[in-house]
Amino acid sequence: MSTQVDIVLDRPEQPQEHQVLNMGPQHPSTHGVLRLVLELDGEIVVNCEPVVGYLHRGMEKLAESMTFHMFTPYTDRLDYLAPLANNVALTTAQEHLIGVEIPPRAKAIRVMCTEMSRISAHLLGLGAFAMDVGAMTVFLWCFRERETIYNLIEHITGARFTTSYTRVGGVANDIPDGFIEELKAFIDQFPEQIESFEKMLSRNRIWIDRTKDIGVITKDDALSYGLTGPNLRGSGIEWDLRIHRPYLDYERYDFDIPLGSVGDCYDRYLCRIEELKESTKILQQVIQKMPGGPVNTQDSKISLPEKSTVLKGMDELIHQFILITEGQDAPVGESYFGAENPKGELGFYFRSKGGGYPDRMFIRSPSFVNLQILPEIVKGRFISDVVAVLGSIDFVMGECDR
Amino acid sequence: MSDIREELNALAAGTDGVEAIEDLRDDPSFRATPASLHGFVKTLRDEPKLQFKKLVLITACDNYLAEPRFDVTYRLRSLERNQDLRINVAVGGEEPTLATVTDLYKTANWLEREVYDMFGVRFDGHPSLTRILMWEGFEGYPLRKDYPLLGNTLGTPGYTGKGGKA
Repeated sequence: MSTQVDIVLDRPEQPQEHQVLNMGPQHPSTHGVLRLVLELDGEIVVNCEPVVGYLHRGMEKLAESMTFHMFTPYTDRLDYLAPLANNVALTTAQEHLIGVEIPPRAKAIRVMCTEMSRISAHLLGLGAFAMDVGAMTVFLWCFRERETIYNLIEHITGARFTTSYTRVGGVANDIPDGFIEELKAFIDQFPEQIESFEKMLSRNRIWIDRTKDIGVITKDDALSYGLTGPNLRGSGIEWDLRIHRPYLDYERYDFDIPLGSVGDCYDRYLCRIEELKESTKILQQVIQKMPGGPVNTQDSKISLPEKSTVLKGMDELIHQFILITEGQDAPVGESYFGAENPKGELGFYFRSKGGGYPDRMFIRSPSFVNLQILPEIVKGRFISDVVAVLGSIDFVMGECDR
Repeated sequence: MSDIREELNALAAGTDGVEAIEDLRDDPSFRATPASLHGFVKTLRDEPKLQFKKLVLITACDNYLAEPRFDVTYRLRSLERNQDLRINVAVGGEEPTLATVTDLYKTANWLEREVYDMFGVRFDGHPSLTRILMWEGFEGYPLRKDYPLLGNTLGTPGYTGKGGKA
């Protein structure tokens, strides 16, 4: 009896044996290092288990030994497709804890930063989604537009990705001369580009076949799974922190919340496209209404003094020294602030025992929460649909694993 | 806003083991005992006037050397009333254990796994309470205050002891 026969005999006598397929952690459509353990019956997914944690860096532990400013660069590495929006969310949360009111110009600049990040993150989400289901052109077009945004961001912050632009009490520096004109030039031509994306996809037969009625999330599921952002709104639930809990003076700007009706991949795609248009609208209004004045609060216990005064004045030198070594003094207690980021609600929970270091910081990352619904919506579908669903949920593992 | 606060306070006063507490930024906040938690959350979710249908986060804090050692925080949200609230539960002992809320909110599954992974707080009735961010077989609970910041590198797969300063 040869070994060949032994192997055959060892097989259990089941007519339909399920196969286990390991997708990721290096699969290109998993947007980073997500691993999916798929149980397959032929090409049909019977069960799906996401395995996360490959990018866990222990950011929450690190935050406990850092002053508030020291943590800002870490947020660049959370959702690395929208670092500016993360900077804004973190700093606004810290100000919520400490109890700082920032000047109107700083708020307007932060809104501008958030919306620029939203455009760039949605462009990548859209482009990667389209590429995953086979539309290469849209990917290249999206990246061309993203390049312009990154040039703009580089102009303000000096860096393309690792921006670290915000400070408790304001922003690092005022926007440079000539920036508004550059932004205006981008906004003026951008609606035309969105139109070309839509022309390429919205009525494209292949795109509709791959996305329509795929990955349907019902309203109840969307709520129960705690989804936020375009994924929640794609299921037809009207909830946007910018409108329902206005922060950073969002109530000054006029914009709509795009809603889906069915909650499938196609609805989520449409929501993102519409949000691109809404963000452009907000940016136009920010430019029109940009207030003057300082970009940092004048409270010297919160905000760093001008460098030129530090070298001459005694008080300023002391404030600078205390702020750098001890940080801002936070009150004792707990606070939570959530901001509407491109991926959903990015929230920071702080627990402070006083002083410049948080006792505990929790990052409520939208990608981690949103990803959890994946097994629910891919069960009973084809493997190729998993790719479409992953693209439409639009998550980033840097943020998911923290 | 004030009327929902009164409704919540009345509800808390009528529930055994739940009391209203002060909050730094004035969100409605409650402290519940481990036994009363599940019932209180269920009431908040199902009460037609309140509808706290969304669980925003579950996390924990370590009060090292104090007893009860862990403070688990739940944050619920009502979209209808546009209101958040916070519930804190203190839990301690050799094997800190709480009742799961996965039967009420599906999102609690991963959030509770994360609290278990990072703090070692167990959740009774959880469908699969395993580590989520750390790997299976990892020892210790990283976010506890007695866990070293640079990590305990003994037994880390692939770690040779050369090069790192840990």
